Amino acid sequence: MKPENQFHKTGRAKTKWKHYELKQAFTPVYRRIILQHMLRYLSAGVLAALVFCLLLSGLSFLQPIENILFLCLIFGLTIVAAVLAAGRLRKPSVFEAARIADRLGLQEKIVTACELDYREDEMARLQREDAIDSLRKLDKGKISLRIPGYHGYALILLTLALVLVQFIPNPMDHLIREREELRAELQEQMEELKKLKDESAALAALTEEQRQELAALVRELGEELKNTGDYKEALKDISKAEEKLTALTDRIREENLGGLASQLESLEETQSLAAALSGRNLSDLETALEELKQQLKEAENREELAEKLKEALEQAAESMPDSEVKGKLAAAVQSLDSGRTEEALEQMAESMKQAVQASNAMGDARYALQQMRSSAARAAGGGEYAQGHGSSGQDEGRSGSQGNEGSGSENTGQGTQSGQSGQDSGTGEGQGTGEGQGTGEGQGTGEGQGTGEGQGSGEGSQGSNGQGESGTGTGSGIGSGTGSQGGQSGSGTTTGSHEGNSQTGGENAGTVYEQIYAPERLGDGGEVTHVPGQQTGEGNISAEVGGRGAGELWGFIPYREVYQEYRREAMNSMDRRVLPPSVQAMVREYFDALGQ
Amino acid sequence: MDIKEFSAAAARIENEISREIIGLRDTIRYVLIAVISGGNVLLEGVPGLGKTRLVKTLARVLDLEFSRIQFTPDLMPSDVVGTNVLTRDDSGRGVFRFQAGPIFSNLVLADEINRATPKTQSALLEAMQEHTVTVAGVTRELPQPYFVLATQNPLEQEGTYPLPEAQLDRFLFKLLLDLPSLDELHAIVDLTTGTEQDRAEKAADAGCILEMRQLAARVPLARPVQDYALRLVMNTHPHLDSSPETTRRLVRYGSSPRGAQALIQAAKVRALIEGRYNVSFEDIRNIACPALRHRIFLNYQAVAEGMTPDSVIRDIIQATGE
Repeated sequence: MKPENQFHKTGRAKTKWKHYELKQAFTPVYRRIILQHMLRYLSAGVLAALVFCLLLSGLSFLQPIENILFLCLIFGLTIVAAVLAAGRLRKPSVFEAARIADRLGLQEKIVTACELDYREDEMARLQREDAIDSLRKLDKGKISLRIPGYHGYALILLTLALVLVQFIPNPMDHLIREREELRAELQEQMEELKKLKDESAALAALTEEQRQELAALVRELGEELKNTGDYKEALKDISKAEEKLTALTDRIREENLGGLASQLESLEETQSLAAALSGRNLSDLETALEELKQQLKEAENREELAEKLKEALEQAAESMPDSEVKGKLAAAVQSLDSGRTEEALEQMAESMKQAVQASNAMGDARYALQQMRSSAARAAGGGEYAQGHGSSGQDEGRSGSQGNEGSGSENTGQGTQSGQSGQDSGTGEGQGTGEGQGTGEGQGTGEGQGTGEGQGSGEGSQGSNGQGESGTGTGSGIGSGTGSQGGQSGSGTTTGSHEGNSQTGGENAGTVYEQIYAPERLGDGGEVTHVPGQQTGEGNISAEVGGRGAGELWGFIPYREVYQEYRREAMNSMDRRVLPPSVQAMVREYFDALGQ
Repeated sequence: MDIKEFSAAAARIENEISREIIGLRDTIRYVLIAVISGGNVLLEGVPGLGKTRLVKTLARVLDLEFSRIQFTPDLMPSDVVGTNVLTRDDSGRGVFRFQAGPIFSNLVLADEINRATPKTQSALLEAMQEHTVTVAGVTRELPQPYFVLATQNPLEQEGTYPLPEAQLDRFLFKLLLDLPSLDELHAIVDLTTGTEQDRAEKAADAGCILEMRQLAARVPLARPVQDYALRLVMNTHPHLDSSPETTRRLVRYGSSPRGAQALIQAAKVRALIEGRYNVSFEDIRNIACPALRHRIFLNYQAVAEGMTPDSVIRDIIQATGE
């Protein structure tokens, strides 16, 4: 049996040379072989990286891929590094290198010499000397450091293809830009929300536990929005946070005001005070307190009233979570007990204001969330949002005319708006032309139940002449906000003038419907609400009635049915303290007028 | 003897033979390799190509005892190996004395070996393999160096007895002699039909050959080269899954282990002649055809397709990676 030296045993391990001369002669050749090996792996790695980048670029035409150049660079370098690492691991052993060297015309002298390195006999010595001599004479240039030809061609082709792909317009680029804008917008709003949470004076009225709940909610929302690139997801997250915030607000209100209001409601004399407290209206509260003050001064049964009030306040104080308010109520009870009515009333007023402030404290946070959702919708911009919005714009045109007491039967118009103008087809007998102008901004919010709100103002005039049942009439443009939630949402400003014909006044003179919900667009289960946007006299909207319209009652509900909900939401929105009382009164008056 | 002396001696022998044998450079080289390796050679070629002359020249150049046996159908084994004859000794008593046959020479030319009966052919078996002859229960050593060079005519098959596989396997090489080229033919005619004939001189002797054989046996063989040679032999076997498609389709029987021994043995000598102390892949490839062509047996499919053992061996070489 032929004895085996460590050269055979160690397929890849480093050979321990017994004869230094052989090692010395072989080392330069070995190094060059390793270099050649690594260069080939490098070119293979670059090829693999280029193929990956090309595939990624191709994929980017089907799916929006953000930071594709950065991804290409990182993954490309990673691939090259991985292939080089693999090359390092698969480095030729001395045995393999000896065989490579032998193929350069050395006729197995090196591999034989390496095998005989452990032998000292004459033949082995002669063979070793022969191998060393051949190694020294070997032209190292025969170990080419050039990459294989097919690698070179492939590298050139792939590089050209990759460069070429960069010049092809990518339809996904605009989606990526929108995502980036959305993310930036959400980030900004999130910062605002955090700032608000930390700095708002209103939130100082909350108890520590309530503040912690709010902080947790903001933190959770921040985490969810951190990497979102989908405005639908963002809107869902925001809506979810808003729901939680609403629940928290309701709980705080119930804790702060519920007990006190119910106690006061039990007394006939303090029912208006209870109503003002429930409505969280500070001016009403002041008025009611003033009335109570008068009653306590002038009423015949003032002592009995004071006693009842004291009992009511005592019971309310027991269930009050806020220790400060609780203390003030207790002080008011003591004042009543000692006959200091005015002082008691002042203390009551203070405690009630503080309770109202605490219950209203979430208003800013809710407003911030609404702003965030609006921003998300704005950032979503065109695309799906615009597509969804087009139909609402179309409806706006119709509502503008229908709002004109049914006289201005028009349904064609032109306008500019965010989104695309819709066109309906229809026939009608009436003809009319009209122009309307309006300006306004709309903001829309909404939740799963499909509520929304909008505010804005606008005015316009529309002149029309036509024939038909409705005859001629003047129309006034209505500016109103658009809002939606769930899958599609947004707000925008719509300006337009209207002129059109077709729909008969007779049809419009009856029940007026306005598209509020568009459940067919829910998709993911959310709900969409469209509220008419504001109109100005600029721009034109063209539309023809046809297909699904108001007459089919499909996706529409009567305005009156949602009025109460609108009003309630408007009142809730006014909880923000930053809204001046005069503006709050304006809103209330507006809704009162609508309700009449 | 060192490698330089070896190479010089080999070159001398080749040059001397070439003085009388025109062309046939490869054949001369292979015959020399076989002689140094201690193997036997089967020369196959049409008459008149110089087979017998080559052997005779070789004997003269190597200064070896030479005998020629013309194989015929009536040739008996005793005619080859010798026999015991009854004679009288000095005292007048009748005794058997062994009369050595022509096989007792250093270099035996078995001319037209396929014309003898298998019985007579087999008389050579022991001599070729063991370098001994056993007659009447007595085994006698043949002189060293010893080798047999047999010739056969591939055309005249009538009245011949093809060599059995066992007999063929005893030959280290089977060499095919081709017709000389026109230039070589000119040289042959000039050499043999003139008045002055160049005559090869002694270039080595038996001792030299034995020394060269010993040196050749010490030539190292790297494991990859040996592995290559053995894989080459294994790939001649059609029943092995690892064999190339050509083998599985065209070969009936593959080479015996003697084929591998022949490859290695001859490759070592060739390496030394080439001035190397080690065997290379090229040595193995060079030796493959003469060493294996008489050891693989093609099937009818191969014959029908006009394939030869050499073409199959070339395919096997191509399919066997280093």
